[in-house]
Amino acid sequence: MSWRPLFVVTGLAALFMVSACDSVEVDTAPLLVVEAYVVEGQPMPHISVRRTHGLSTPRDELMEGVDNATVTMTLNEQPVPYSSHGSGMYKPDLLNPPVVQSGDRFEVSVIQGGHEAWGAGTVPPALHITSVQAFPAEFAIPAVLVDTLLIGIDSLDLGLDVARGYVYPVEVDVAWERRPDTWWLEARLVPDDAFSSSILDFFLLPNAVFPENRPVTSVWRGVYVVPVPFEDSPFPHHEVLVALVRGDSLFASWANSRANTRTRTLTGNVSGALGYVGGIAVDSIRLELGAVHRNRQ
Amino acid sequence: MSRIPIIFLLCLLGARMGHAQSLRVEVRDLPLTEALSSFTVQSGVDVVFSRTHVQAFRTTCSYEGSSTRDALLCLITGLPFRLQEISSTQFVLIPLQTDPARIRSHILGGFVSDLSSGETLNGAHILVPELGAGSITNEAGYFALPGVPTGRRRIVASFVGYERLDTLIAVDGQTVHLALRPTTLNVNGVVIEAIPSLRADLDSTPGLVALPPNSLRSLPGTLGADDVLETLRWLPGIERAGEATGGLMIRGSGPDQNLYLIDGVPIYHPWHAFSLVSTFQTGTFKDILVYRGAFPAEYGGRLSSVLDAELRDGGRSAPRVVAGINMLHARFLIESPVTTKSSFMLSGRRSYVDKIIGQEHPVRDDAGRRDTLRTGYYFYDWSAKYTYRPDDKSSLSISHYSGRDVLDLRLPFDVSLDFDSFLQPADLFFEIDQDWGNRMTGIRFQRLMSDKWFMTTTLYDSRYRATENAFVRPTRTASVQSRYSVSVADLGAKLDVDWYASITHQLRAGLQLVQRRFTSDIDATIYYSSDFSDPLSESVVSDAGEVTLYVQDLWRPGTRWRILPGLRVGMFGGGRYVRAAPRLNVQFTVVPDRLVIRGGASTQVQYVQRIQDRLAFLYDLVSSRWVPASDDLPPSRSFQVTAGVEHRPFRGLSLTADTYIRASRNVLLPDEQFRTRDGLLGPGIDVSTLLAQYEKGEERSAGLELGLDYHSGRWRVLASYTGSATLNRLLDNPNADWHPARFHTPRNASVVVQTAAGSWTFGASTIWRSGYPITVPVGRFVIEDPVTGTPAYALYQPEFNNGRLPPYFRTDVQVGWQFSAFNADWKAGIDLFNVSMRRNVIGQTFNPDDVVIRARDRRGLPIIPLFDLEVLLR
Repeated sequence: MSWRPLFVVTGLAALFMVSACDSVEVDTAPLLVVEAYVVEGQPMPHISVRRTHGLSTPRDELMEGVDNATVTMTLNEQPVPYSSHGSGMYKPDLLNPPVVQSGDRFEVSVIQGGHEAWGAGTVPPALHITSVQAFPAEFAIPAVLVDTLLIGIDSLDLGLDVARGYVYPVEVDVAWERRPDTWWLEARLVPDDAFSSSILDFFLLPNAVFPENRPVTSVWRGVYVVPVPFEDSPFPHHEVLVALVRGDSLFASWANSRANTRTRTLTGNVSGALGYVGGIAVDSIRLELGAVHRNRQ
Repeated sequence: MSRIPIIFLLCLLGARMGHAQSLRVEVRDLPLTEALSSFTVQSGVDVVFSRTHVQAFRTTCSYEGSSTRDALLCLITGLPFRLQEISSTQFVLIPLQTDPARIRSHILGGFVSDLSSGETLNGAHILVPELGAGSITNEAGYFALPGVPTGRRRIVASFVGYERLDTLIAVDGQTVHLALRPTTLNVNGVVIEAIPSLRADLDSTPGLVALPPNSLRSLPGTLGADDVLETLRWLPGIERAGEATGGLMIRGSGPDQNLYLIDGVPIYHPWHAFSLVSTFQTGTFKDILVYRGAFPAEYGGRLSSVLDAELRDGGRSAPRVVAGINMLHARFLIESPVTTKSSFMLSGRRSYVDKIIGQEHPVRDDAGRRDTLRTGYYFYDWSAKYTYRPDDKSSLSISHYSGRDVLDLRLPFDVSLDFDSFLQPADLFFEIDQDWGNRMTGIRFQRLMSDKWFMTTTLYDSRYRATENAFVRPTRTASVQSRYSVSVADLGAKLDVDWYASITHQLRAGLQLVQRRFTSDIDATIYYSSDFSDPLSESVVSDAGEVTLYVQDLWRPGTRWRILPGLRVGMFGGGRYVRAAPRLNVQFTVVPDRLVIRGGASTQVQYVQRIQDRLAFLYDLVSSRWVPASDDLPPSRSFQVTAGVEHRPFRGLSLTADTYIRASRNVLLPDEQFRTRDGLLGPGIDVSTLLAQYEKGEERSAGLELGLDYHSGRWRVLASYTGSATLNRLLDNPNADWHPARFHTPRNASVVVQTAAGSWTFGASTIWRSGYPITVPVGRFVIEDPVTGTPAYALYQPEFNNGRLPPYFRTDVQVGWQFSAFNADWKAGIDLFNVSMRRNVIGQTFNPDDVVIRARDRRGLPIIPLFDLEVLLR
């Protein structure tokens, strides 16, 4: 009987067991994060330059900026130097920076530590909200407030951390001057104290991103809720910011991912860095609701 | 002259079983006249024969069963006689008209069956040692060896899980019937299935792993006892995609890359209970064949593997009833001969937890409000087969399988184990109504056209359908209702022809026609308030036909070589795609019965792929949505090369080592790797819409699989180690990085140790594997809202699957006891799942809003005691 094959098999096994690699090397080198929103009708914007931080960095220290970068913005092929104003904030070195107009083309360049980040875009047409109507519910209604939603058969773990409470749903209709071309819109409802719960969030519509030429009408309807402690609690006095933002399809991707950072990765448009550099048009209205405001406006 | 008298036993099993006689015949090299006389005297059956013709022959026979006819056939097996039945108690032995002087050689052909049940055996090996020639039985248990010289020849028949049959037969052109005895032990009057080896005969079809159910049944299952797919994980290169749930992954494949066949009919979603247990009950099958990777040309349609299981034909000799119950379900199996030419098998299984906790719960609160909460969940299986054999050369069988899972919930959100707190009328609640399952019916006709030609015709209808309905009401004004269904239906026909061309060539060719219909519907509405809703209503139907031709040749150029080349050509979608898939398997016996080396190379094509809406929370939770190849979705294709060695240094020990390399193209990968479900309804169910959530990708995998199977006396050790790598990348981006596949585990090891002491069996099993890949953020950063200027936190995740969960480790312990009581054989078992109580990490999440980022672990199952009880009535 020959034992040679057995030795070969055993040797191969030992070799493979030793050599098989199931560890992963993680690249933790920081990366620049560049943000610049070139807003129609506004002076040349400030440009934010930050960087990524390690996972152990406390949240409060993430605002720390990068102040030693060389930042340049080119507006309609005219370069404008930027200088640092601390905390990673760069502003144009001009006494009277020009106001950005619809159709302006721009580029942003950030050089730091031998790395260059670059982004470009076009300023969209001006955006005008024509009307806003809010429809708070007549009464507070019971609602399920779920903090976590984790269901897994493997672990026999129904991670429902459920509580019941009361909320006032508020519907808000926003109308604007609609354009027929291929811009995208981000519609936002931002109440003072944003409310969020895992289940209820699915039935709220505090924001949406959609192509401007898709809706049949020029009215977007959103829904948010205001929590109250009791069923007979009055509709709380609060303010809500109603905003529309117009941008291109890259802005739409960025806005979609920015709204869901827990479930998506931010899809920026800056080469050599994270972040977004693009032109937008913004219009917003701040509503004051509650107390004397119980009926349709 | 040594004489071993006929052992003839007769017993009555009681009125319930009828008055079936149990016959046992054991003779070795006894004059046929003497054997027939003894048989006549002891059985009371009259056998008429001519002493002039009979006296020149001797017989060797081993039979156990209830059929006097089969017992007599056993006595004349290989001898130039046929049997004519006059009545149930009178037979005539008629000499065959053969002239040895004129006929120099014959085709040695016949059937191999299980001695105890009469079931034909697929994959059994037949060897004529003096010629060095052999054959393997097909799915009808038939084999043929043309050109065997006339005369008495020594023939060896073997099959894993059965005692080897080494006997002399007369080669005279007559069909022979060989019956193999299952390996059993007899302890204190209780017949106990021995712990059999898993390894097939060394000379089996290259690439094939034959797994007789008896072998699998002795292996521990995790949470699904008597489960084929659950026990396959003890083989190298096979694992589950999860701790206790998830599909089967073979050599790093995706679960949708495996072909599951029941009696040759494809099953699309072979799982119950959220993939906790499979639809393949071990006890209902007579043969289970598994091909990992390089499978022969007769199989196709999937990239990775084939599991081909044959339902039991039903007892041909005696009725048999088996019933069992475990933590999850109760089951039964009945099989019996109907007439001397027909038999049936009927098997059923159903979970019973709903019977314990109830399906509907009428509740009423203090205000008099009434409601009915629902907590229904169950699954069931029906397997049935009727087999009719009009003669020795034909067989007609009708197979049916149907299985469903039904989940019906109506519960308040504050559901908990404190029943009093939530068992009351609910105004805020959720309803989930899910129903999914397979149903297949197949008709198969097998006919031995001549000694050289065997034909198998199969017509089948196989359907998979799932519905997922939901109604969720988290406030009095907001709700969502959704009705979703998805199905795939196959109507197919297959013709397979075996041609035993010569002693060195065994050809098989076939034609397969399948018409598939894919449907899906959704009708859903989200009500943000009573007068503000967002509907989604779509319906999709598509048809696709597939025509496949194949041919393969089992070629034995020498006594040590077995070469299996083949070619499979498929035309899909009315000619939209025509793909050829060549196959080659080679096996060389270095040392007979000790050492073989194997190799193979094959191309596989898969025309249907499974996708799901990755964004919707309300549907595609339990469904398998299959989509056909189209202009947007070309067929996926893989090429695999394998090589292996199997060594048996001494009796009872089998060592295997296999390597493989596989490359696949046009597999579907998620387009945005990090994205998870984040909405109630997705963008729609149109195929092109769903395919927008995927990208075409390529996959590479390689691995080394080591196996050890030691079996000696009361001990058995089964160990495996798999080292592998499976990487994916997007196809249209040449700069894309390769990253680990979703369930890639570089190292995977398992050990099963079993021993028997009297009627007790003890076992322990251990699984150790690398943790699954996960995407670990490497940093965090902040961005600002362009409107409000408020900061938002985001994770920096530059690479997909750049991390890995901690290694998974689990040990289970099993104790079994076999005993006899109430005229029945009983098996009782206790299984302690995760006896080491290690709470394995099976998932991790990261929240960008945490003060400091730390992984949040999701833990696996704790220790769980399980039981199983089975009774066998014969």
